[in-house]
Amino acid sequence: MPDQQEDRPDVEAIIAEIRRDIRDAEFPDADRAEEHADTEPSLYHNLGVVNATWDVGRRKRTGLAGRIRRILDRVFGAPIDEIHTFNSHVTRVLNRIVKILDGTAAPENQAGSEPDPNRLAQLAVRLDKLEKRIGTLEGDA
Amino acid sequence: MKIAFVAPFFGTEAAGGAEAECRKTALHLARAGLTVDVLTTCARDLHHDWHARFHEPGAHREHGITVHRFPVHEIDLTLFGHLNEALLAGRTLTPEQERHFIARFVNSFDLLRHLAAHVEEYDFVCFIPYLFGTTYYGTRLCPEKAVLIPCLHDEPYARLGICRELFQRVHKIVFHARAEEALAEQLYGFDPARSVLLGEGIDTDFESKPDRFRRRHGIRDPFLLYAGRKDETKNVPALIRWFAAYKARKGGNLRCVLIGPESVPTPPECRADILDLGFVSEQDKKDAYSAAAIFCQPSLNESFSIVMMEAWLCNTPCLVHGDCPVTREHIVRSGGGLYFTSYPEFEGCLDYLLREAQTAHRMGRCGAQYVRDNFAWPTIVRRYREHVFRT
Repeated sequence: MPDQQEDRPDVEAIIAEIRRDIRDAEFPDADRAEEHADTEPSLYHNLGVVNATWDVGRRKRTGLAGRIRRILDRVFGAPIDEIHTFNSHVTRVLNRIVKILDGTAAPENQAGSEPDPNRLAQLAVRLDKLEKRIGTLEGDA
Repeated sequence: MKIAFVAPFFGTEAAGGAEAECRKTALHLARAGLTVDVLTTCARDLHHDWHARFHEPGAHREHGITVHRFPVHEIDLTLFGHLNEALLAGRTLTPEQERHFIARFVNSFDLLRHLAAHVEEYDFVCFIPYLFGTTYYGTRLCPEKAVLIPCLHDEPYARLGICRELFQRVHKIVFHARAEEALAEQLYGFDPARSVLLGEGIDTDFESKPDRFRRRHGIRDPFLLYAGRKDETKNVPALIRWFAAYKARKGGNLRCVLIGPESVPTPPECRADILDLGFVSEQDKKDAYSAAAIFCQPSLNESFSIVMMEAWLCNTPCLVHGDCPVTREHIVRSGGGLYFTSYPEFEGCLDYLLREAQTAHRMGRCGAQYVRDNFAWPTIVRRYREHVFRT
């Protein structure tokens, strides 16, 4: 297919000129954030899928499936844990990026938002209890 | 020379770019002296129940071509629905799941049986578009005669393993644009000798009257026009938000006119500036092209864009999203408008086209020349004869 030459405006040159002009113009961050989201309409849908499927950790299985699962865990358990940890980090980062794009993210290190030591201690106790409970259930299976 | 077109849907009622292309190409090739058969289903189009017999099965003559219609094979679509959801969510299907998917995606055993029985009668068999059971299984029956017109764009379906197999299998592949061909090469890595960059035929002789459109709809102000389906896949909600942001920042008397099926939510603050006309007649659409200051095609997934070509034939400059390789290629090659990749660029392009009226008119004329030089029917028919139907 031939390209035409006669009297043709140089599109790339005009767009370069437009880009130079807008570089100095003021565009509110909100406009830019909306723009980023709009150019990828499936962003929120895909983020929902990521949030729903990042968890590849070991699940309790009973019967034959449970026995096979425990055998496989001995071989693949460590890589699965690594993938699981990696997925959880990536999911958190993606959620954070989208919140920043939306303009709804709170600053990461806000003054006065230091964690409460008492609350951390309470959470640690609850976590110990949960781990023991999970261990018991896995033993039962 | 006898040619067959195999398409999942065929008829004036069938909505979609590939469906329109199939019908018009078949008719123009028949007018040029080729014997043309169309093998298709009884279904209306993708948006209506595929199992419903909108058309009667059987053969009939229509404008010099013979149309053979066959019922779609009835099959439970529950599994298809699940697989489709998974694909659109970005998951990868297993080869077995892919086979289940394509077997359920508008397939007709009767059509395939007919093709198998009559394939020797045809010199070439054209399959359009790439993603249907009729195309996937039909090309397996006659790979050495199969001409694939894929209408390909970058979407999850394009990454199915069966598509790679399809593109590797066929005799010739007809592309609409260099960007479409490049995408196929990147995804499937086929032998470039089998690909033909041909474009798509456009009716270049039509009349359009801008004043008639302005009078009919009472529009005096300059307007940005969009024509087509108004949904997410065409990126129209984003166009509405960009236009609303433009009006909020710049004011002015520019309006936005939308033509086509479905509706799109509009922000209350600029409802008066956005006019959604819904379905209009073909003549009214042509009049709208010539009345518009700018035609906008915001879609990211086009394999050609007929509406852009029609707007250009009315000497109207086009504004497209730069992240769509095909429409951007048209713009750069023709000089027929501008492209943007962000809101600030959208605003800058609108300002430029409204401010530099002479250049904008020249862009419209360059676009029209580009369409006449490359996509007029005599050119397309000649290319089919010389580059595709070569024995």
